[in-house]
Amino acid sequence: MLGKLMKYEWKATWKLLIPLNLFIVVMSILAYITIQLRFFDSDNDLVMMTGMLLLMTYVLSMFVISIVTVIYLIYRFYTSVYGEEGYLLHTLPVDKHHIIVAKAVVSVSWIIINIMLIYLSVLFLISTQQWFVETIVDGFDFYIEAMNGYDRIGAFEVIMTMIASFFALLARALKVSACVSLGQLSANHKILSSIGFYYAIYIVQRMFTLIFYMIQTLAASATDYSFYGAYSTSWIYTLLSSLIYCAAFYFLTWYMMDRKLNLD
Amino acid sequence: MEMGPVLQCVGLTKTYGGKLALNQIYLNLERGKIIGLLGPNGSGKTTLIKIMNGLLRPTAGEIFIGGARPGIETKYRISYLPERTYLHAGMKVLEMVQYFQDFYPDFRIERAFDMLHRLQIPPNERLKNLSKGTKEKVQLILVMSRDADLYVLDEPIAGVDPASRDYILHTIVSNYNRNASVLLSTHLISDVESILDEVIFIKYGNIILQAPAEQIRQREGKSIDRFFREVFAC
Repeated sequence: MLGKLMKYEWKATWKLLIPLNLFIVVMSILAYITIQLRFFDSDNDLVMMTGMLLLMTYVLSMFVISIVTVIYLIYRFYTSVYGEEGYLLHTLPVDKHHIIVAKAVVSVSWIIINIMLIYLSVLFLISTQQWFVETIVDGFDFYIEAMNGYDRIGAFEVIMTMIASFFALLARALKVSACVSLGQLSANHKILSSIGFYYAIYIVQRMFTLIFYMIQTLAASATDYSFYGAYSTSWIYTLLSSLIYCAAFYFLTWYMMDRKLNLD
Repeated sequence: MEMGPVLQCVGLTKTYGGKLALNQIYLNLERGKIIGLLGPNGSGKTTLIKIMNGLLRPTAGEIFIGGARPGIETKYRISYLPERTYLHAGMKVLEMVQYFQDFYPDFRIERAFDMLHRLQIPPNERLKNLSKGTKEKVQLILVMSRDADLYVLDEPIAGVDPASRDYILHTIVSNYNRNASVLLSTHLISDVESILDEVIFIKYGNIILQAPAEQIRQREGKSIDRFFREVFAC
């Protein structure tokens, strides 16, 4: 049933999110043409204005599309789980765990697709500028050299950082699910309650992070400081805290969905 | 053929923030009957139906569907029509039919297409382009195309035109078997009275009457619609 739930989750979301992500591709091509043909250096005011406008639209669309993607995924979760469509979803003969996993996997996949597209788009545009490429390459060489200087930071640390980032993203998606699930307990103001829960949990998380780093700073004397140590502490903390948050938010979402369901 | 009641409530109670919605309900529904769950607004009909379908948890007491507590197993047994539209507006009728076929092993696709054809509902139309009444017909078709043990229909004819009501009632009557029951909640008693085998009156969260429809008519000397109006007169 998990596969079927995921299939329908993809089908329900791609109608909006594929065109949105295609828009990034189209805007990237237009921005590329604008830069290659140097529209913004043209003597013709109309061409120059068009070029400037295209580049501004490109930058703005990146922000707007990533925000719209996240808001749409939250809206989709709310309407399909606790809105009118919830009457169908919760009367399907499926495990609640499968519902949570299907929604989380599809949402996180869309966010990763969106991030990767924006990242590739920016790289694509930068690659047109030789001086920029040289600066980046120089910067990267410097970074590698610095890493080697501080020794021991290699492929393992980079991969672990990426894994930690993935779980941090998953934890955030599950946090939204948990907050929306908590918010539906409210008789009125369900969305407002969800936002309230989100910020309350956010503050608690920040406090945990602050306490952790305070203890870590106090434990290590200034002479012990090493770049490698700070880097490792960072990804290990992100990975461990994200795994704990994933488990906590997953359980909270499941508990609310299974034991405290309150469809109006 | 399974034996025993299709649904059993034992001291079922539900409160919302201290307000009593269902009060110690004891109820047995036998198989092979069409049962009317009748009561005014706010009497607890929808709360009872939601508990049957696992959409709400009771505050106290227990409920069994075919001997099992609400869960995945009972969702295979109940075919539920809520009082509201639960279909994804962006999907086509055909896609919803496939959705039901994917999730419910007892879904009969040929029956669904036959009913869509008879009610002249185009399968390739998107749900957002259909009228409210047509969407309700689509939902009813989907629900009645399953071979369930218990059909729970919350206000199935409220939004449809009188001309379609006869067809819908005919659909309900002709799509249940001796091993299945239909629990039908409605305000439009005169429209459904002729098909009811049994009647349940619910008032302020209490079951005040459960009896065969014919017995009520003979005992009271009047139609159930008339009797309902007297019992629930404001």
